[in-house]
Amino acid sequence: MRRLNNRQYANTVRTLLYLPLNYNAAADFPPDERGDGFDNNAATLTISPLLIESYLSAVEKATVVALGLDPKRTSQGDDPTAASRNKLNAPSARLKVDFANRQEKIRLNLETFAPRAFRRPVSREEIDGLMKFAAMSFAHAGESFDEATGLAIRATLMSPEFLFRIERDPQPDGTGKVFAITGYQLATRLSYFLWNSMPDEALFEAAQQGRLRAGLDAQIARMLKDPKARSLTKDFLGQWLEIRGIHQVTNTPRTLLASMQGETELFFDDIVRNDRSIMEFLDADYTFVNEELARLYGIAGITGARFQKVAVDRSQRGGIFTQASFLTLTSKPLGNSRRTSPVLRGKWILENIFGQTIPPPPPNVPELKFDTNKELKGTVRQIFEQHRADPNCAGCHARMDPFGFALENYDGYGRWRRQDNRVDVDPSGEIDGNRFATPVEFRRLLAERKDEFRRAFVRKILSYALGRGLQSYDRPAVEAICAAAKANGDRFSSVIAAVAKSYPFQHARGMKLQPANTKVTTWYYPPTREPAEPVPSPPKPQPPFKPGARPPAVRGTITR
Amino acid sequence: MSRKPMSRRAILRGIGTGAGVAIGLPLLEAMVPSRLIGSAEAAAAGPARPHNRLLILYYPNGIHTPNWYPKAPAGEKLNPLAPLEYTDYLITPALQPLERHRSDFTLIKGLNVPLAKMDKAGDHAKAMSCYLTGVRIRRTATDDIQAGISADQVIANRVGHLTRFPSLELGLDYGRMEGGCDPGYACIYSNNVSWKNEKTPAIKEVNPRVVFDRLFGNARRSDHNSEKSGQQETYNRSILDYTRESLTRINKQLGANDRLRVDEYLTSIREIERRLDAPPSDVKPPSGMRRPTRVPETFKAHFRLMADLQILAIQQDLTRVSTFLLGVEQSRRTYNEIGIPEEHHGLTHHAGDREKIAKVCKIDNYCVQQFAYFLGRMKSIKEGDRTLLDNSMVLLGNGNGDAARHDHLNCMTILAGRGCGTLTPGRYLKYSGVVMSNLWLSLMDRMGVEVERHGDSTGRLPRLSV
Repeated sequence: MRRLNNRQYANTVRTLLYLPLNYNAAADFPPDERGDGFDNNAATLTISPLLIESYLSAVEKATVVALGLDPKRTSQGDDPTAASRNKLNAPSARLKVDFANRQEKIRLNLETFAPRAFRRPVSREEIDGLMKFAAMSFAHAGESFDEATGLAIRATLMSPEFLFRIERDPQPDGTGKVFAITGYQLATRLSYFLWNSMPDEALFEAAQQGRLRAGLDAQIARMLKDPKARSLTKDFLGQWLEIRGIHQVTNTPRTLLASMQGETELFFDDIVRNDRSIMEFLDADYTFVNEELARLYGIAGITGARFQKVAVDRSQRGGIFTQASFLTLTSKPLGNSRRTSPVLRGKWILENIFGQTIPPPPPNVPELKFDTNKELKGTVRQIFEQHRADPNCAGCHARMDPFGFALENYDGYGRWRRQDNRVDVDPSGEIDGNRFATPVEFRRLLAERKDEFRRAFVRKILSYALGRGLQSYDRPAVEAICAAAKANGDRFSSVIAAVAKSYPFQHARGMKLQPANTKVTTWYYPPTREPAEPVPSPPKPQPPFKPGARPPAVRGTITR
Repeated sequence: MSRKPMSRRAILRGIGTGAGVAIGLPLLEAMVPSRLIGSAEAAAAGPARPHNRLLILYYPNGIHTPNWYPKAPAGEKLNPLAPLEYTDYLITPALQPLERHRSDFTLIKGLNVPLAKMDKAGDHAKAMSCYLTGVRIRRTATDDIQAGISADQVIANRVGHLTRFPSLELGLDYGRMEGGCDPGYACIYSNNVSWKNEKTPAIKEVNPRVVFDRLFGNARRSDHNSEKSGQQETYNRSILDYTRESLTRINKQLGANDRLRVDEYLTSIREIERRLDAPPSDVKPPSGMRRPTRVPETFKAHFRLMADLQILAIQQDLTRVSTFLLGVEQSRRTYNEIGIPEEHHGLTHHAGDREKIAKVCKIDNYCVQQFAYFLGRMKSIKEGDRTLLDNSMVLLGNGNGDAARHDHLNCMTILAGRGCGTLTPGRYLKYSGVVMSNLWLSLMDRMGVEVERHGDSTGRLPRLSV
C-alpha cells in the first residue's frame, strides 16, 4: 500500500476529471519527503492532518472547476470546463436530467467513474456507499444535479482506495508470501511508472480482458510515445540526475538555469521518444540548445528561446558530462560567480552515472580555502591537489578527483575554457591505469564503461519503478534486466520492457502480520559526562603552496 | 491529572541512581505542585488564568561557539550537579541584538545531544532528528527509517486537545528536493525536527499563504457565505466518516507495516473532526494583515511573516506548541541580502579561515536579530497585566553544537519568556555537559505534562527558575 505522491495526485486528478493540462490540484500541498533519491518511495510517503485538509480542499476546488459549479460564473456557453462536465456525464447521456432520473443518472456516471478512480472493478456496495452522498446532496434544498455529482466525486477522491495504491493479498494468511499481482495492479504499476498517472482506457481494457501480460511490449511502446511519458523526464531523470533542483542554484540567471535544464531534459526525451541507446548519455555527437545556451557554449547562429537539435564540436561537447546542467549543479558559489568543484563533479559521476558509493568525509574536514577578495593563486586543480596531500583524505579523493580534474576545461557554468585564473588548465589524468590527456580521451574512456553505467541506470530506474530502495534479493532481477538490455543494444524501450517483466515488478509481498522490523528498540544512551570545555583543535597547517608547481600525476580507480 | 509534588526524600533517594542532578538546591521545580505551573487544566479552568506555551525555533548548521558564549572568568569551575549562574554577564557581539531583551531570556551553555555523536557521518541528519527526540536514529537511506517521538509532540498529545491545532510546524526552507542529503541518512531526517512517532515526522509548512488559510480559513469563508460554508462543513464531515469506514474495512486486509499508514490517516481524521467540532471560531486575522500571496524572497521578510502568523496563533490560543525551522540543516540556503552569496553550510566548514568565520558569525547575528524581533513582538502584546512573552517559553536552539566541528556539544540554547512564572529569565546558566533531553523534560513539566523520561534524559534540568 502506497500513497500517491503529490505529482501523481495532481496528474491523476487532472486525468480523472478531464481538467485542463495546467490544472495542478496539489499546488498547495506540503511537499513529499524522499527516500533513496525518489519521491515515490512508499516508506517516506506519510500522512498528516495538514495533508488530509489539503486533500479536502483540493477535491472541493477540483469538482467546482470540473463541473462548472462556481457561482460567480453565470453563463455556461463560454465555459472552458464544459468539456470535462460533459465527459463525466457521458455514461448517462441517454438519460435526461429530471427528478425521476437524477439518482439513476448519477449511479450510471459513478459506475464508470469509480472504477477509474479506484483503478479496479468496483462492487455494487461500494457504489451504494458513494450514492449516499448524491442522496444527501439532493436532500438539501437547492442542491443541483451537478452539485450532487460533485459531492459523490469528492467522497470518491477522499477514499483510501483512491489515495492509496493498494495491492491486496489474495491469500491473507499473515505469512507474507510473495504473490503475482493482478492485471489491474500491473496496469496501475505500469502507468505510474511510465506516466506518473493513472491507467488509461486501453490499459484498463487490456487488464479486464486478461491480455496485458501477453501484450506488454506493445503497450510499453504505445505508452512511451504518449506525451504523458514526459513524466519519465521530469520525475525520473529530474531526480536521478538531480536537475529537478537546479532552480536552487545561486549566482546564475533563472532563465539560464531553465535553459540548462531544458537541454538535459530534451536530450533524455529524445532518447525516450526515438528509442535510442541509453549509452548516448556517455557520449553523443548532438545536443539541444537555444540562444542563451548556444551563447554559453560558443555555438553560432542559434536565435530565440526555442531549442534546436545541433551537432556539436566533439572536442568540446558530447554526452551528459559536458552539459551545463550537470557542470553547474556541481559547482559552488564563489563571490558573485561560481567556481568548479572537481570533487563534487567526480562524486556526481561516480554515484549517479556509475552507481558507486562514496563514503562521507570524516568529521571536522574543512572545505577548501577560496578567498573572494584576494587574488587566487593557481588553478582550482592546484588548490585541490594540496588538499589531497592529507593522507586521511587521499583515499577517496584519489577515486573522485580525477573525474573532476578531467573536466576542468569547463568553468562553474559549463563554459569552455583553456585557462583557469590565467594558468593553463591541465585536464590530464589517469583512471584505472588508463591515461588520458584531453577531455575527448577522457570521454572515450568513460564511454567504454558500458557495463557499469548500464547496471547503475537499471538500478536507478528499477528503484523508481518499484517505489522502494533495492535490496540484496533484487540482484538477480537487476542482472536479468541488464542482460536483456545488452542483448537489445541498450535501447531505452528494452530497458523499460525488461523492468516491467522483471520479477519484483510483477510480484508483491503478501500481508505480514508482524512488521518486518519486529523489535521496536528505543535506544537509550548511558548518561555521560562531556568535558566541560571542549578544547578547540587548532586548524591543520596547510603545506606551503608554490604557484606554478606541477602537482604529482593523478591516479584513480573504478572499483567494480 | 494532577502532578504529585516530589518529596525531598524521594529526590535524595534518586541521587544514587542518577535521577538527581540537582542536589543541594533549596527547592526544585519538580517539588512545586503542578497547579503553580501553567498547566493545561489551569488554562481550561478559566480564560482569565493564562496558560503556558512552548515555541521552539530551530537554527540550522550550528553556531560559531567561540563568539557566541561570554568569556569565562578566570578560575571558573563547572559544577556537575548545578549550573553556574551569572546575571551580570557581558553579552557577546553575536548576541548584541538581544541586549534590549536581556531581562527576558536566559542564555544556556553546556547542553549536549550525545546520541547524535553515534554512528558514522550524518551529523546534520542526526542534529535535527535527535535534537527533540533524544533517540538514536537508525542509519538508513531507505525503507526502514526510525526516529522517535519528539518533545513537542509529547506535549501536543497531552494538551493539544485544548486548542484548535494540537501543534504547529512551520519552516522557512523545504530542504533538499533532489539528490542526496546526509550520506547514509534519508532526507526525511535532515528536513524535520518534529516527529509524531518513530516513523512519521510532523510535516512543516513553509508557504505563509497556506499557514494563513489554515489559521483563518474558516473566518475568511464565512465572511463570504456562511450558510454555504456550514453546508460544506457538514459534507466534509460525512466524507471523513465515509473515509474512516473504508479505512477500518481495509485495515483488516493489511499487514503490520501498512497499518501504520492507516493509523496515521485515522489519527489525522480525528484531529480534523475535533477541529470541526470545536465551537465556530471567531478568530480573524487582525485588520492590518492581508492574506500573503507568495513566499517572500529574503530570509528576513519570510521569517517575519511566519513569526507574525505564529504569534497570532498562540495569542488567539489556536495552539500552544509549535516548532519553527529557520532552515534545514545542510541546505543550499545563501544570505545574499546581507552580502553573503555563499551557502551557509559550506561556510560553516571554515577550518579557521577568518573571513569565513566572520561570515558565519554574521549569519548567526542575522538570525539573532530576527529572534530579537520575535521577542519584541511577543512583548508588545498584552495579556492582562503581563505580556504574551511572560506567558510563554520561547526557545532558540540547534542540535549541531559548533558549526565547524559538528560536535553536538554546547548546543545553542536561548530560553526566553517567563513561562507563566515558571522560568526566571535574565541569567546566563552554564551546565557541565547535560543531555538536551533534560531540558525537554523540564519544559514539559512547565506545560503541565509530566513524564518520567524522554529519550535519553537523565533527569530534570535544575535552576531554570529561582
